[in-house]
Amino acid sequence: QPIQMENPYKEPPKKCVLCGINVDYKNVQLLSQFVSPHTGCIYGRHITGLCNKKQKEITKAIKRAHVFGFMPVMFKNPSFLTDPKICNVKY
Amino acid sequence: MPRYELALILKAMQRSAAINGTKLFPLLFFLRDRLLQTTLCLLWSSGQPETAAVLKRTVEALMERGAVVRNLENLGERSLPYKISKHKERHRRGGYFLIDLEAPPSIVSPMMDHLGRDIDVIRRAFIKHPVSKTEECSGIIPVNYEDKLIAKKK
Repeated sequence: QPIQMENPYKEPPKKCVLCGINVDYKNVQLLSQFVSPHTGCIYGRHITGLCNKKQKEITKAIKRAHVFGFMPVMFKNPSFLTDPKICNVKY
Repeated sequence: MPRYELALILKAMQRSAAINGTKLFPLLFFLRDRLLQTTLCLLWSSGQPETAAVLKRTVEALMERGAVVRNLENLGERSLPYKISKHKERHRRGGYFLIDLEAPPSIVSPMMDHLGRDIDVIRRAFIKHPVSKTEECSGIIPVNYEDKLIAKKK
């Protein structure tokens, strides 16, 4: 008779890119990776591919960095333009 | 007392070539914190006594109102992300400083007032100290869309 057990071949839950990383308004480089280089607008969840919590944290941190004078608003800081691509953007 | 973080952007000073270090050093030793002493000494020796003076009076004002300064970090002098007009001047460069402190919540608004009146402070911001808690991040839990659609509205 078959024994009831949970799926032994279960894959570990998929982690988003920022799953273990602490998001802070001070590290502008991390925040700039989720911002458009042309307009400076924040990418949505369907582009960044982040989980609920992290997307909210990133948005709040970016807005804070804008207000406190850490991150530019209308564009992406030119020194961070050559950072590796995380988001699913098609230019 | 809750922990706060004060992010300050101070006016960038003109580099002064000759520094009269000997006259001004005795002033520094009245401060109780050793961290403060070291950061201010560094600033003084690198040719920015005015920045050190601004920080000193800020921290003194904080301590007067009963705050306990834990740490003072210098994030360097960089060019601002956008031009900021403050106190009848258009600023392009600024010194970024971070003050870690414990303070009663009643001093936040008077301190913001006080810093607003200081000409050398470009931007001031009080934040609750960010608690880093990223140990329990379970991955993306797959959402069951069928159930969500058919679920009864509360």
